[in-house]
Amino acid sequence: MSDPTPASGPPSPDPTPASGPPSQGPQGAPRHSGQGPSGPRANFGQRLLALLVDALIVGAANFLLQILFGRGSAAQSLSFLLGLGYYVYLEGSPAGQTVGKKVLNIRVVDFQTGGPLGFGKAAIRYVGRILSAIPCGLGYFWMLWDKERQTWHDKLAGTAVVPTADYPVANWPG
Amino acid sequence: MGTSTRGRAAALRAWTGTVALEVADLRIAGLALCAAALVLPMVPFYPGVTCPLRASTGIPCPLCGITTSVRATLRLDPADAVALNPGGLAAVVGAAGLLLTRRTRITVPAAAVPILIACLWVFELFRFDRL
Repeated sequence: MSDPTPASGPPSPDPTPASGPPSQGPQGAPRHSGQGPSGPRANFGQRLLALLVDALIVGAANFLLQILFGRGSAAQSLSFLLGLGYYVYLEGSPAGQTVGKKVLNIRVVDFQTGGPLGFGKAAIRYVGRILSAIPCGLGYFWMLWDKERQTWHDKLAGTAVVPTADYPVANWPG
Repeated sequence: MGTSTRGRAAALRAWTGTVALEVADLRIAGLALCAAALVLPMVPFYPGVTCPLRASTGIPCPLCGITTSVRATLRLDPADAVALNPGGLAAVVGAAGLLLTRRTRITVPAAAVPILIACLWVFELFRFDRL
């Protein structure tokens, strides 16, 4: 995505966002009052590829669970817990990156602070993912026409997905 | 009072203003949809895309039938495509048009896409006799 207001200066190793919260400019004012987002955002292609990488990882783990435990309710419960643990731990950690997001150089941040979202918001975001997927993934496609490029689960949890070039990560998972 | 007035004004602006759509994102979404519609049926033992909303409640979502509709459009059967979900035909035509444009952003009324989705939903509710 070509944002009209890229972050100034080189990325610093400090995990503090180089360009402030995604929702505000440095003085609390919107970075620009146009029709685009208020700050740098990950594009749809990056997010789609990250989703596919994560789906492969979680899918492979679920496949192993089915081999070990069959297709019963125990395996389904373990499968849910596996997905919950993967996303909540990795997105709730300071880096805010699943493996897919790390590969694609993007991360999840708190929409108000620009910092880590924490495990609580990461859990809300995971539940939001399920809601986004229920109407044939409409909640995921929502970012295509949303002014802040947020999916439904981003809106529910108050998060944004941003490029690490503008919001550097010090350590993974942090 | 002032806050709620400002909140209402902001909500009104959100619906009456315009929003810039990234052409690159739309191209990728369109191509991904076409690729999914073409490739998924070739997967061995592919059970088909099942809408979680319709599977759990019986109520179709606005995008129900869209991959089948895209597949019908790509095999040049627009009547079948529209009968399944007009959004599939629109997505393919739109994706083809976006490949030709040099613009990086398209500005549309903010209410346009939600209204389009609402129309698709009404269509699908009729198609599944839920209205």
